[in-house]
Amino acid sequence: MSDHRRYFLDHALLYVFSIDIELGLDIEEIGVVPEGARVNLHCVPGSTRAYNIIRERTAAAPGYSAVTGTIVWGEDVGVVREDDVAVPAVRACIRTDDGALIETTYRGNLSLGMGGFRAIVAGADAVGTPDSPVEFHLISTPAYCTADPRYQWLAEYQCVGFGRSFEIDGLFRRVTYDIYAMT
Amino acid sequence: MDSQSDRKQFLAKGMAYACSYDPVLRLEFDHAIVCPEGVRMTLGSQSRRKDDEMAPLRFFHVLDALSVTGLDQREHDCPVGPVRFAEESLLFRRDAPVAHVQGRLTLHTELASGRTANIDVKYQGLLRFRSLAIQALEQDGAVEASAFLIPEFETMDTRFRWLTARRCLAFGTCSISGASGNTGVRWLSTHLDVYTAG
Repeated sequence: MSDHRRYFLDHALLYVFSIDIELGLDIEEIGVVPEGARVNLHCVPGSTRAYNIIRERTAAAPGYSAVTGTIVWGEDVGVVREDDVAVPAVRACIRTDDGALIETTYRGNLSLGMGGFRAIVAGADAVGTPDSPVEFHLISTPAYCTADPRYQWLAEYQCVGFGRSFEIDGLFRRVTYDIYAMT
Repeated sequence: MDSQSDRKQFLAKGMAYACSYDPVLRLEFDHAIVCPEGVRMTLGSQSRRKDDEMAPLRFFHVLDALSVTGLDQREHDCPVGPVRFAEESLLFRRDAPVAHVQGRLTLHTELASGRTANIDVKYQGLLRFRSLAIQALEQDGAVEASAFLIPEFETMDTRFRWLTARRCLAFGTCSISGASGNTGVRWLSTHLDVYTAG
């Protein structure tokens, strides 16, 4: 019998905010590189919203301002791996409704299902319509950076985003997330 | 799709226990670098407590189970076994109660079938203290912190695809104990439970 801990540790997730990201059609297909199929996506500035689902003005406690605003700039230099997992690598900047700038960087995982990589490389992935987009589960792990004291608390948390990505005509057009802080 | 209306309901979220890891590493002040953000320290598997034969670095299941139930509700091999190599960098911030963590280790798994597999694990995240992180290096006595890491498992062994294809989260605690000051040796003891998220 090994000599190790025999109890689970406490853990919790604290809701911070939600975000809807519209992705533009200015996609840069880099092509197949050793890690997989590389593609650059850009968000549509202004039409991307950060909001609080339950309309709270604070996140968890007084002094922790809720995050509401828009993304002013964002890009995803993602790669679709041969094991049918897409790995987004995102850098974006949120401008809150009260004027703070918050930068975020994160990676994530999106499972495309068996054959996803081959379909993308072969150009046979034109699935989804505007009325019926194909939905994928997406998990990201964002960290935040800001010099604004109202949102400094956000930079002191490791966050996780549980989201969905929507594909239309084979292009990822929209992503929506609920962001939680690990506590 | 109506992009103008905010969602009114939370998305479903789930987590499933994968494994645990409780390393004890030696903080070497000789390896500390003072940088603009704070103090950066590099830890390696060679710097763990060599006289403590009972505490080798290893991944384990808290209940000693051989398998775990994944988010897909299937049973999967639990990634347990000794850590063959580990290196870690900690940046103790001078302006915030956090230390940023980056590291890498190689796990040599021992499966019930007798077969083995090597898994590379890269991780990053943070330790959150009650006061400025840099003070944890200066205080006498034990200093406690919470640990939140994002491990990424990498292997071509298909038995662990349930782990490599998912984003993982590690929740835990850590404490820094031992003598303080530039001449003393301090120990970083961390307790982590790793979950797959989906």
